[in-house]
Amino acid sequence: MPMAIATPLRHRRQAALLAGLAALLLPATSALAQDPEKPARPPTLAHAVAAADAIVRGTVATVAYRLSDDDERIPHTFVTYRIEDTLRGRADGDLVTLRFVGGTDGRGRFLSVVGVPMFSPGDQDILMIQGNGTSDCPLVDCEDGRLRIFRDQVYDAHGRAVVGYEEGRLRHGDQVEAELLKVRFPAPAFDELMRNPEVARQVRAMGREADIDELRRRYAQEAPRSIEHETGAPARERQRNSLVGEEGIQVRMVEPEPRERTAVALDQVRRWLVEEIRRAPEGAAGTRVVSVDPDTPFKASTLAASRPPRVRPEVLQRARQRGDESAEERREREAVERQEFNPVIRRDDRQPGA
Amino acid sequence: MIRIALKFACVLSAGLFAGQVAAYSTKTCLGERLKWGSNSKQLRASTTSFPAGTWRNTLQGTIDRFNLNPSRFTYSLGTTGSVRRGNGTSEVWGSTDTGLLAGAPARAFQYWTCYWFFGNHVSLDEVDVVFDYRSPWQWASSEAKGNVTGYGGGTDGRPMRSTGLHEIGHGLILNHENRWYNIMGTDFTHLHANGGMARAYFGADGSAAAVFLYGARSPARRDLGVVHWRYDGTSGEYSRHRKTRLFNTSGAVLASFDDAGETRFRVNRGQQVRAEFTYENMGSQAQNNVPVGFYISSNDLVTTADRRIGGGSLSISAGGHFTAEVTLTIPANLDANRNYWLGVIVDENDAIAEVVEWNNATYLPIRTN
Repeated sequence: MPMAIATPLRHRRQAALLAGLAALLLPATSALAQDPEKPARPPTLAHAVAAADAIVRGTVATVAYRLSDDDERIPHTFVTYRIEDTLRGRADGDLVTLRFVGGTDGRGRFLSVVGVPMFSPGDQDILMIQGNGTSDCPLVDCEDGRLRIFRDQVYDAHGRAVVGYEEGRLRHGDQVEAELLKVRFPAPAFDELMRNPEVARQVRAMGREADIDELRRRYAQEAPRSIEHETGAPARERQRNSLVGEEGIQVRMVEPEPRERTAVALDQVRRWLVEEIRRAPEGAAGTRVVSVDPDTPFKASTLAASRPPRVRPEVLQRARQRGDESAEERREREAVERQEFNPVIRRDDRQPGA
Repeated sequence: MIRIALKFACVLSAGLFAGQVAAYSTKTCLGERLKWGSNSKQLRASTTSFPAGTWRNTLQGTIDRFNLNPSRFTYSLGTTGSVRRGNGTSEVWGSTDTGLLAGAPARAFQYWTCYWFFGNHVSLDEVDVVFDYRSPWQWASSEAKGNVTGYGGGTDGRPMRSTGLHEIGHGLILNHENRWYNIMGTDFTHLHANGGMARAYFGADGSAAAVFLYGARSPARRDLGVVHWRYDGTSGEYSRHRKTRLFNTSGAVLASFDDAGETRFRVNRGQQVRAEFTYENMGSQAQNNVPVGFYISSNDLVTTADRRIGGGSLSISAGGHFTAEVTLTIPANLDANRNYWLGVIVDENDAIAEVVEWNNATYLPIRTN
């Protein structure tokens, strides 16, 4: 998913009002965010508080996978959290089950949707829940609405350490917690795996040697209990770069400021959240989160092909449009265009410009 | 403003050496890397969403741009009358349906296989890319600057090619990346500009990732580039990019104003300034001692026909990228109260045969006091 430079809010009137107030106070609105000179920034906690139906801390108790009840048979994940702390809104009980697009068909095939998180039993998270059962990713700004907890410290959905809180936003450091990059799926049951056409072909290729009962017995003994999927696996290599100026010309290499590496404690993040909730205007309290039932048939969101937008008239280069391109500049441009815009003009003794 | 700039510009050395690490990341299952089983993949464009004409050509242009990368991997483009997730075919379409697209300009759906059956079976099977064809997204098909956000295209000229390159980067199973200037961060501020064009490109980091996954093409492709964009921190999982700047010798950013979407810096004639640019090697081999020239131009097209005011020598690893400030003197005999462009050209003697030459020059707009 490319970076969103605008984030439509939920339609609940109170949330929209509160988010609108936050947008007035903080420069993360869509109009500003589309200007590269005022780059988009992650949503504020105030935005998350306003948009969330509920904010809870919990541990993943179970993860179930189901296919949508339609022609596309899209894998979805039903993740059930045991709620340990409710900061905003309320749930039906101690458990809440959320539905996300993506997951496995239980036969060795997977769908991952960029920007939608994956879950393993035992994951501990702070969740900003929004639109469960109606949204394909029922968190505020999808994965941005999930904060991971590991050894009582807090990380983002990609395992990057949360290191501070500035201008209403969580700040991230360089540290990536490798354990949070792994997702474990249950290995397919043998009989389900046999329904995978690719596996069926392998079995057929074994010919008479394929004793299904023997294969089942060996599979039970030898197959891994889980399928581990690593979502980061950063590849790192050293670079050796330099720029040396001619005599009298100095060069200064610029690198990003090293960021803090240590993730902040869970208690600290909780205090920041509670403070934002306290600041939220009266009447903008979160609402009730209703669990979804994994055993109730559901349909996947449709994504039908649509006709493209109108092609906007091309705006040509301003100088050419205004007609203030000099004859020398025109010759320069034409020379460059003839050589596929290579800026090194070989046969030209003109010196347009300065 | 000055304090912020200095905070971010951690100066390592004066004209010598910097070490960095490549930043791309990918995915594995059962310890095996998720990647295509061959070095080519056809994407099929929906004939509804990409009918013959401008939008189809834009998508084809995106793929052509990607295929300039130095790896052995290439995409091709076909068409299809019907699209569907999970049908075993990788497709591209646009949709006005709500569903999952809410809040994102496009989404990639990655289907893969991973199981153990007396051995690991891991493969990448299908990647579908869906563009959001609803408001607020306003796609720019043209790369002429007047159509592109940040260059006079207002706030609604998001280049389809830059988002398309980002998405087909997900087609390589590259993850979002927020540690460096790169296409898998904020794609619509990952552009090259010279003259009237602001072009999307896959970049050094993406190219290095493609080589990591699929190996380098033979003979090796060479491609150096320089841009007036820089890394400016993180925005969640995305890198955030901003235009490069012009400083005085004390490190203060010079006064500037918006000139039809671009930032124009005010300079004094004869003034020493520090010009900031980002240099990239999008080839598969290191390049050493490459001549770099700095120029003053009367227009936004920087070429060797312009006035040279200094130079240097660039050495950069394959897949390397870095931002540097160079001290230069604005000529004292420029006209007062006039617009100029302070330019840079890498490989200024054109000695390196590159797969792309148009990305070898860029500029910072200036106005003399």
